Amino acid sequence: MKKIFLLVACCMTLLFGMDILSNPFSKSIPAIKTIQGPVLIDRLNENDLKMILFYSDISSSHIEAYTVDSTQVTPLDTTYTSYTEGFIENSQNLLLLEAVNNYRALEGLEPISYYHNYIEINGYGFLSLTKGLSTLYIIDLSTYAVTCPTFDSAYALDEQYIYQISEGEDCYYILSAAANSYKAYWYALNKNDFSLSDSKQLSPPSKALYRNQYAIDETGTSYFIGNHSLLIMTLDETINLPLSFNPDSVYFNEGKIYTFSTSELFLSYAIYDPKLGLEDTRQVNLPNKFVTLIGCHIKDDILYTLTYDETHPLYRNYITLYNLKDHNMMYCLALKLPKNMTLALQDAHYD
Amino acid sequence: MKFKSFFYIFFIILVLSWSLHFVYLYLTPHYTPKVKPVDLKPLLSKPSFSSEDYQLIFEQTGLSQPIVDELRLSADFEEQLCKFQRNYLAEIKVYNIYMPPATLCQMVGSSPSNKVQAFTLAPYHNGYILFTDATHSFGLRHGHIGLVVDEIRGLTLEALSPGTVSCLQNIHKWEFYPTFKMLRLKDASPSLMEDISNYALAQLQGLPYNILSSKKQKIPYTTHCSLLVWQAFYPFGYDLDSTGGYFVLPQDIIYSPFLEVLQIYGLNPIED
Repeated sequence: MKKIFLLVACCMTLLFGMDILSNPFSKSIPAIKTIQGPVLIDRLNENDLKMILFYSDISSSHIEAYTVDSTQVTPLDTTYTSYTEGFIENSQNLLLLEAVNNYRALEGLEPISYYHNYIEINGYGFLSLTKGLSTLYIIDLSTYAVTCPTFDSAYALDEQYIYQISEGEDCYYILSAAANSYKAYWYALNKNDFSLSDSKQLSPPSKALYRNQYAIDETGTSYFIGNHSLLIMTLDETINLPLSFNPDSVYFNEGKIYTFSTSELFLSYAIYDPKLGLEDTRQVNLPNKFVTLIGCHIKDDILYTLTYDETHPLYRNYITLYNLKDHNMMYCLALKLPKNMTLALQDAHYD
Repeated sequence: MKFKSFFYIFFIILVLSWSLHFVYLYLTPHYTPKVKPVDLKPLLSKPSFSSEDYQLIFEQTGLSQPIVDELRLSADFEEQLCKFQRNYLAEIKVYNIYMPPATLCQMVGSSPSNKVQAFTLAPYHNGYILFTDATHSFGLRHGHIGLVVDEIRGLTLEALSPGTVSCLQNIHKWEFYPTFKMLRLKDASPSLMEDISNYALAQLQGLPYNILSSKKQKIPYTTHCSLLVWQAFYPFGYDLDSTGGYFVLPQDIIYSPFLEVLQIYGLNPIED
């Protein structure tokens, strides 16, 4: 009987062991040492490349961060946590939550452990839930003192996603998307006391749904993607700006408006100055056919893109840098995926 | 001695049945319908459908009458139905991914780096319930369930796993599971569905995951995937737990008599 017992126990161990070995329960399986694939193009010269990439599992509970420079991709020891629209260092997240929950306790509200969006501007952190301006917490990052906007606007209490915030001379401008609606809301918050000085309801094109399809500049002008166009809403007028391509995303960065689209082979972009003068519009080569743009960033005339390749058997992501002055691809790095992880959308921090 | 023998036999039976069940879970991640593809085009061009027509469409596409009627309003109705049919009847590959602490989740494709969109979601609206039985822990196929809360921006509200809080998710991730069921309240008005999804969006976001959460919370402060769906409907007079008791599992919800099935994929339409 004992032999049978032992035999069954061995079989059981073997079976369970096989399952464990096929999954990352097991620490005995060496974790993937590097996600770095080949550098396909390197014309960086003196330009520096520094990025942090975030990979997460399907539930965003397991997050791996990697620093990327031109020569290596290194796993980061720092632990990160997620909020709906992005990732944040765990230690910073705890400080923010403590500050906000202390404020909420004084207001007689339940503590929170998760939030929708977090945007840092010039020493202030804007942490938002989805209940409009009543759950927008403005945190002074030097003291962690928390303030909530004061407002008198009916739709400021609507369920909404705060997508973009910009800093103007006297105001912070906020652009949010109404839940379950194509509507957007625009607010101006007085910088001194965070009181609402102006607000309006906007009607963006139905194509503009997500955060990277909304943008706002430092004068409070809002930008939305449309069909072969950008819809621009200044404080006084609405402008429909036709484009030669059908845009997927729009960004405001360092005084310029950038809009992008990908096709089978090319990344199309257009750059406008604040007066809506066209500075440049081009098509540049994508790193492979049929890749999907999952994030981009512009700094010092360099366009950083993150793409996902559905077809390549080994390399699923590319980091590609383009010089917007001469329109050349200046760097392209292929990346493997860490086991069971995917590069989360809009997930890179750029230094 | 007798007790020892009894213990050994009991242990062996327990282990063997658990092992067999585990193997069974591995081998049956997806049900491919045992029907031959039928050319639906002649049927789809008819001016109206009989109940037999709807039944045939369901067997071939996994879409039930309300969805067929909704899709019928679109210009490319026939094309769309044929695409649903192709996906529904196709054989697929499935791989497992690990979700801490002890759950395996099955996804369509050959590996995590080669995941495949298995099917297309039928038109969805606020208040619709999405279910998959693709997740299992310790040999128990418990599945996962979520609620559509923003049909325009394609967002569901879900409680995912221990250590996380209930949060918004992109609805299209459901198209990568090997099994799927979409349900809604029978005969509910669109305004009630809106009220339910608005309540969920306002009250059930950011709740910490606790598998032992009770249904008796006056104001919800913890949740898990099926409890979250239950908590969304309960204040509106719908107790979706078809079995009652302390725990509510995803299966308890999908068999609720208050619900009707709108779309299935990878599940046996009779047994699941």
